This record gives sequence, structure tokens and C-alpha cells, in this order.
Amino acid sequence: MHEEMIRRAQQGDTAAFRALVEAYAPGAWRVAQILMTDREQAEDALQEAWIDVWRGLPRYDAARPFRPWLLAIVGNRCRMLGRRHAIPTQSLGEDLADNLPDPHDTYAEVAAREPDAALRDALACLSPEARELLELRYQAELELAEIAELYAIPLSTVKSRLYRTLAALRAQLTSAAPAALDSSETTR
Amino acid sequence: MTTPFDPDSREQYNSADPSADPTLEARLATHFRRQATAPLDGDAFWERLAPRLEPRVFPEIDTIAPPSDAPTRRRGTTVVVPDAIPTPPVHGSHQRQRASDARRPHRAINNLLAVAAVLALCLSSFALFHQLSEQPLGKSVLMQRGELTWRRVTLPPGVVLTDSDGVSMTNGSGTPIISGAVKNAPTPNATLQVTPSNGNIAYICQLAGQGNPRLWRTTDAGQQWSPLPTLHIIGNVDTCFLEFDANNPLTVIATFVRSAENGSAHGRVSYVLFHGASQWQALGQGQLMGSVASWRNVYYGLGNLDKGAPTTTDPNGKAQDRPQQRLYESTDQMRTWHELNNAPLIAEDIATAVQTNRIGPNGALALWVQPNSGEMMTQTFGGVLWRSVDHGQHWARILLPSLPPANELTPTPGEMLSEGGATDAIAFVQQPAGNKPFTLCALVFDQTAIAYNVAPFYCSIDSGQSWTRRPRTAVEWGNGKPATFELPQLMLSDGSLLAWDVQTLSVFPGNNPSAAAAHVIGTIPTPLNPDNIPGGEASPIPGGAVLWQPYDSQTLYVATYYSP
Repeated sequence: MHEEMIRRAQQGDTAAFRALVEAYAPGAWRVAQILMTDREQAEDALQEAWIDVWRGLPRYDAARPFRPWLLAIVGNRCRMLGRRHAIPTQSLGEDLADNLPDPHDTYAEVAAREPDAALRDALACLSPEARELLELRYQAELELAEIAELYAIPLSTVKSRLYRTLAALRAQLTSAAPAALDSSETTR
Repeated sequence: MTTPFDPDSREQYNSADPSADPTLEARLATHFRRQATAPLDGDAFWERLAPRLEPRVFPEIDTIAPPSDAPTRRRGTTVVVPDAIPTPPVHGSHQRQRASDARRPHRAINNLLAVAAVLALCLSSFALFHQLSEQPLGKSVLMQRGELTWRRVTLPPGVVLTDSDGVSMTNGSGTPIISGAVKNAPTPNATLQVTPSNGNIAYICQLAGQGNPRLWRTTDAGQQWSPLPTLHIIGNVDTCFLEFDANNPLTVIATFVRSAENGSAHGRVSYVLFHGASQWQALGQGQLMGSVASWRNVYYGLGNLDKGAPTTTDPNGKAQDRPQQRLYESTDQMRTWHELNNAPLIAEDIATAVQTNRIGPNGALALWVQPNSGEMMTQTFGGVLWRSVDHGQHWARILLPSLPPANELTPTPGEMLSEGGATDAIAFVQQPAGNKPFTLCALVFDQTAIAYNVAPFYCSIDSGQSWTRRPRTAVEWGNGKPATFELPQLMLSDGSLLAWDVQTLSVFPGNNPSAAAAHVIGTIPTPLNPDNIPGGEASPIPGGAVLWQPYDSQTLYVATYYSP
């Protein structure tokens, strides 16, 4: 069914293109949200990506799977937009840090909603890149090959990165287990 | 118990591998599922996306040509029209001719000198490249730049366009000239309006007797129509006016006139549906604004909200049927409007104003707002343009170039343009985009009536601060008839000008220095009833224009044109 939609969209049928957007936008949206920190930016990137898809459809080889191609375009757009919106960072001086709102209450609130606090804490110890990889795999539910297309890297690299990330996560969970227990006892 | 990962192993992770850690993966999946954020609003996303899609491809279906004996009536300016409409020139034929010319020196020189042969080879390569570059981009079904193919639009279910012509006309700023629909379907029950700033976006207002009116929108030049949220209006309505935010044509204002109070301002109810909103917002009664355009969160429009305002007289002392249009501003999402009193466009003493400021009996006729800078442009009587750079507080009249010496006004052989009455100018304003000043073109007329007025043609790319004289080329019909200059109707984004009459569409270089000479780009579908020739509409899109032409009340044709 999607092949027919793609074929019609290639010929300029916007109704078919809309059907494609409806079919694939939810998955692409999850990816864009993972790659972009800001919801508006994610939507901007997604819109630009779909425009790229529209323009690129006449050259698209329908024999290839559509979703990896789409996700690669989404990834490109997110990276481009991310570069444009890169915000210069500044280290926190003591004065500035003192003036920040106390995140304690918010943290406690979120923690209360999060049953797997140990996993959350372990994830927090990972690098942003490693967390992003896990989000793409387990939140956006991408295939490893799709992640490879998204990052424009070999599949084997994705596999090894995921392997190392999961190993690091597991190690973190193992080492943090007593501390987590202490923490839960304290809060009791 | 599984021990899925051996940190020392050099094997790569494989999720399908039974040695993987299903427990950890399940924990991760559960964790991230909880983290899932709000889903994308698909409809709103599509509404934002669709106007940005270029309708690049059209199947060759429902392509029609006018009969050879079709009438030659036209709207507006009198122009010499050939007896027979010529076949549009084939795009690229001139370039192919030049390419073959370039190969001739190659053959000649190749027999003389080796050096010349190299030169010829270069020429030949260039010619081949040039020729290839003129080849169609794809299969024959693909629409080419510079070409025009009509396709039939499928109307929404139950829609029967009003009038035998099947369409309502709007002026250049989107204000309806002919509107009104007949209740009690299946008689004609709907009007169509194309937004003046984006030819891909059009609306149909469908009235259904006692039922609520239905509004439909297309953002892809009629390929698909989407119903807008239902409007609940008490009482019977028989007239529908639509207005749009020129800088965001997905924002639509609908005004209905109730039957019981037809013709009365008190019978009007207006609603606005903002871009991305899911519900209509009621506006005050009788707030019919034209030429609406936004800048950030401020809306500007032309109208007259003073119900007791006396109608003004024209320069001949004849009373007009409506009050002079004034300039209004709204800073609360169109809930309330207040008049920009400082604008010199409003002159109570119209007789004096006509003499001095060329205000005209109808006040401001059209309004444009630069979407980023907020610079404003308005047009009054006689093609006079006014500019404001302080959001309508102060206005300066744009000075048009003076007429060139009389010896420069010799008409092009065969070129004839007759204008009834002397005016200052006929001005064309490009739909503003990006962050650029306004691009304008103007035919400047003598103040005295001349039978064959050879109005010089000027263009400006800095909001009328400086002008450049441009050639006013005539269309070569290619059938031995005199070349003629068509009065343009629309400026495209590349500065070229589109002109159309009953049967033919032409493009003139206008302010586009790289454009080819004026030429016919196609013909217009002849309506079912040739004695009642309807008005088509054209609005710009990036790189071209979309043209809408009715055939009968249930048949509508659309063509998209991209500048070569």
C-alpha cells in the first residue's frame, strides 16, 4: 500500500504525500524529538525534512525501504538546525549557580513518578550521545540499520556503540545498586 | 539467569542474539515509553507543511484547448487581439536552434587548423551541454518550467459553485467583487476564493439553506480539499465573504449576511479561523475588513467601521455607493479595530484630495504589509502608491518617474494600447516576501488622453525610492498579426509579469532582466457559456503562479506556471 502511495507522491500527488506524512510522521517525530532538545525546533526540523522528501521523491529509488531514507533526511535536518541553534555555553560561576532555582522539588516530583529510579540514575551517568543512541533504539524503536542511516555510519559501528553503551549502563546499574538501596531506605 | 554481555568480548552487539540482555532491554523500553512526549498534531503539521510544497508534477489529464472560434472579448484594457489564437511556442525551441548553430563553426574550422579544432570541440561540448540542459527533466508527464497545463479540479462533495460561471471574482487584494450564493442546494450554493498571496491556497464557502455553512480549504491548488471546523450560525445566511491574512493565508475571516436582514450591516456576522486554531473566533458585527495583512501579532486592514459615515463623491460629483475605505489596525487578534487617524489616505474633503493627493472616492484600494519589516504599501486612486515605514502612522507618496521626452514615446511597430481616460499610472506590486523592500512596476501615463498612449514602463526594487526604465515588450503572436502589449495583472516572484485575457496567457519580462521576451505561455479553457465569460483568478507562488479558471458551476480548471 505504501509503495503505491510513494509512487503517486513521486508523480506530485499531494493527497498521496499527505497519506505518507500521516503514516510516517509519528516515527519521524519521535526521532526529531530525540535529536532536538526543543519541541519547536524538532517540529521545524521535521517540516524541513518533509519538504526535502517532497523535493527528493522524484529521484528516490522506490526499491529501497522508505523509512530509513526518511529518517536519514530527518537526521540531516536536525543536525543542520542544531548547528544553527547551537547556543554558546558558559560555565557556572558560584554567583550564578547560587541564583539558580532549586531543582530539588522538581527532581523529587519526577523521581516519584519514575519507578525505575536506578535505571534513570544510571542513564544520567551516560554521555548525551550514548543516551541519544538508547533513545533512538528503545524510545523511537528504530532498527539498527535505520540508526546507521540516520547517523550515516556503518551498521557495525552502531552495533559496537550500542554494545558498549549497554555494557556501561549495566556496569553502572551494578555498581550503583547499593547506593540506590541506601537512598530508598533514607527516603522511607 | 543470563549473562548476556561479556565486557571483554570483541563480538559486536546483536539485538537478535539470544545472548542479548532482554531484561535490560525491557527495562529500557519501559523506561522510555514513560518518557514519551506529546504526539505530533498531524492535521496542524500538514497545514503548515502543505503550503510549502511546490506542485512540481502534474499528470497530463483533462488538458483542454479552446475552440478556434471562441470569442475574443476581454476584460479591461482594449488591446488588438488577433483573429486566431496562436499555438504557444514550444519551450526551449529557440535554445535548441542556438545549439545547432554552434555546431556549424565546429565542422568548418575542424578542417582548417588543429587549434581551431580544439576551439570547435569546446564549442561543440558547450553546445551539447546546452542542448542537454534543455531536455525535459523527466518523463513527459512532468510539468516543465515555462509551460502551462490545465487540470480539472475535483470539488468537495455537494459543492455547486455559484453563478453559471462557477466562481466569484476577487480584486487584486482579495476583496470579492462578485459573491453571494443561493440557498437550497442543489442549486449553486458555494463561492470559491483564491488567496491573493498564495495561488495554491483557496477556499470554498458552501451555504446549505437552513444548515450551517461549510468551508473548505485546499493548500495544493485543488488536489485535495479539507473541511474547516463547523461554524454554528443561527438563522439563514445567503451571502458569504471571505478575507485572508495576506501574510498568512491559512488565517481566514468569514463574514455572513443573514437572509432576514440581507443588505443590512446589522445582519453581518464575522468569524476568524487563525492558522493552526481548531475553532472559529467570533468577531464583532459588521467588521468586514479588506486587504487584511499581519505583521507579527498586529493586523492591518481596509474598511469603514463607521456605519453613519456619509458616502463621498467622485471627482465628477457623483455619489458613491459606499464610504471611503480607511486604514485600520488591530492589536487584539482582530477583536477590535481602531483607525489609523494619522494616515493621509483619509481625506474628508475628497474633492480637494483628488486634486492634491489623488486619494480618490474609495480611499485606499489595496494594502500590502512586508511580513518581516512591517513596511507598508497602499494604493489609492489612479495607481498612486503610498509607503509607510512606521506602521501606518505616517505615509509618503511614492514619486513615479516623469514621462520621458516625446521622441522616446514612439510606439513599437504594431503595438497599440488604448486607455480610456488619463491616469497617473497603472502600478503592479509584488507580493512581499523575505526581508526585502517592495518590488514595484508602473506604466506611467500622460495626464492628457491620448488615443494610443505609449506609456513607458518603470520598475523599482527599493519600494519606489528609485526607478529603472524597463522595455515594454510586446507579445509576438507568430501568425503575422501585430505584436501587442497586454496589460499585466500579476507580478511573479522573479519580477516578470503575467497577463491574461479570455483566451490567452502571456508573460512579460517586467523587472526580470533575465526573462525572455514577452511571449504567450498558453491558452485558457473557454467556459461552457461563452456569452457569459467568467473571470479567472491568478495568485503568485514562489517561482510562478497558479491560475484558476471556471468552466461551469461544477467544473473548475487549475494551471500552475513556473518561470523558466
